[in-house]
Amino acid sequence: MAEALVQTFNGQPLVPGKPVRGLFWVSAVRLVRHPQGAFGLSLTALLVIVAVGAPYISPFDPLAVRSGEELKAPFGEYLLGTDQYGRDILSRIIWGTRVSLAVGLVAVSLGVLVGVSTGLIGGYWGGRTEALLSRVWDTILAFPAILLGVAVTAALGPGVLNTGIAVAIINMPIFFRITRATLLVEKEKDYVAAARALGASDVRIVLRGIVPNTVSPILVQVTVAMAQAVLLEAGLSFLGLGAQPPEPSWGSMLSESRQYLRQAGWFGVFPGVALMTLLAGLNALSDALRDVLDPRQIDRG
Amino acid sequence: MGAYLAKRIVQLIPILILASVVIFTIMHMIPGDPAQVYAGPDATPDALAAIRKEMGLDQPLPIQYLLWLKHVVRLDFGVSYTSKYPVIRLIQQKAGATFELAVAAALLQVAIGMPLGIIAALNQRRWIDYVISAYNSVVMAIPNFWLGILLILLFSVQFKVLPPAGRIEFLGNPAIACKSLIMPAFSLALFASASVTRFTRAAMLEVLSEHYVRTARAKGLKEKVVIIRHALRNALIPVITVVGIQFGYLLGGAVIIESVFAWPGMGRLIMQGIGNRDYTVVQGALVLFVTVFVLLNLLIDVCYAFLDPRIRLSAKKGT
Repeated sequence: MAEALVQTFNGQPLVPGKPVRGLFWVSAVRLVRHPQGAFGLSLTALLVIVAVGAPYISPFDPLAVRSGEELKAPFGEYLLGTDQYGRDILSRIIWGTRVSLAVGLVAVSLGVLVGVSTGLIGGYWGGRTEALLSRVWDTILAFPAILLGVAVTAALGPGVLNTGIAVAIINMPIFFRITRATLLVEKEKDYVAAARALGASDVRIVLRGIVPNTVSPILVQVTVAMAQAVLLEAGLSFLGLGAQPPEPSWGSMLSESRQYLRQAGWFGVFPGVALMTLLAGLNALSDALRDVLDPRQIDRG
Repeated sequence: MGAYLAKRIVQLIPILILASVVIFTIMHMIPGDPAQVYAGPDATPDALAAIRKEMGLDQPLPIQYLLWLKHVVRLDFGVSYTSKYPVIRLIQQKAGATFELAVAAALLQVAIGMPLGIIAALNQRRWIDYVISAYNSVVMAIPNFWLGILLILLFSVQFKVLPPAGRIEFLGNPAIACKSLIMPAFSLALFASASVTRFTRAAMLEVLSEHYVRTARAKGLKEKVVIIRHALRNALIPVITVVGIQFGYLLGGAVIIESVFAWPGMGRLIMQGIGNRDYTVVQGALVLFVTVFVLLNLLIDVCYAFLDPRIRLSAKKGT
């Protein structure tokens, strides 16, 4: 019974003289201790390191064409074999990590920027602005994601940046909806009324009071959107609309491999394993974040 | 119910109009000259000008849009620039194949996903529940087109039991048609089946904790009857919703899978249209896709309302 009387903050007992950690710190620790969180975090971190360190770890030049070395089997001179131009598949997979993560970053940051800001505007001011914004984003959601990606990359022209923009457009309505929904709940809370009574401006209430409360659901969606972006990039590159040859991308490597499945089956396997690793990492991370950032869980420590 | 339906249909109109604006704008951003595509590479400048005038390409864009919309609402999508066939005929030829693929995938997705979800729910927090959950995580990390390649490697290259590409007309010879359908359908279904498993498990757990299930057990009904008649039937409502929503994604995902297995459907039509700069084809196919997608979502909501007596009855009262 005595335990129940100890006051807690973010799941930590309040002991006089002992500093209290902020919510960010508590959540980070909980994420690392969460089994799925640790798994997802390490896989994702591994691939980020691979992407950043690509020039140092890749054993060969990913673009170097070698005649006479075409479609070499793996586990020889080339660890994962070579492709139809004698290029080292491992090096191309390592450099391909950059394309996947770059598209993910562009897509998610642009998606968050536009989605969240329109969500805040629509949710706070309501009325006609909100109705108009909702209509526009509903229209985007009326397209199957991959088809919109195909149409937009066809219009903008293929390439890594344009793929990122196309995927960002698909992400915007989702971030809009999450922000608006959270805002509608927060707007009715007492602290907003209190801030308004004290004479705080709309901008101040939204930015200082409401925005911090939207961070958790948006953070979870960021990891979900990242996984979706990686998947869409690979799909668009597979269809020939993403990264353009000779730039190495997992999706376009898989697409090229189809012509050589009889002679070189491994060519169709390894880039997919890389893709699966990144997706598994991001999926685990988003599942763990959802648990960790759930406000009902926080005070349980 | 009628009023509800009417209201929902009216709400669709602005979305479809906006979507048509988006499609029209995107198509006109694609670089290249449609008149050139239509006339072929050897056309003289005079001939090109004549074609532009004939197709209305010399009009300002908003006028072009309205002219196009006027035809689209009558299901006239114009003529393909490259094959000179009416677009609606091309779509009619290809839509069946995509629909067949999506339906097969939807059936497989339920056949795989639902039993796993039920088993997981009935064994909550036992090892089998954890195994299914781990299996689901793996499935959700496998992109459908890569799964397609792996299946081709296994069943076409290694064991030589299934054809790696192509489609056989289903009504002509169902047995052989199934052989070429199974790999594309399974590639498309596996990823989606993971959501079905998750939703079935969650819905079953919720229903199993309801009072009427406890009552049914207290009455002394057999466990099998309780699960099938009382729990499963009610758990089906959210599951049907998921399957419906997934169907839209299956139609979209078919675009990639069709490219893996050389399946002659709408996806291939769109990709070829983009490659050939055949705008009318791509425009028409996209309009059709979006309309189906939107109507599908409406259908799901209506089914949902119909299946759930709480929603059905409250709609009757006019609330």
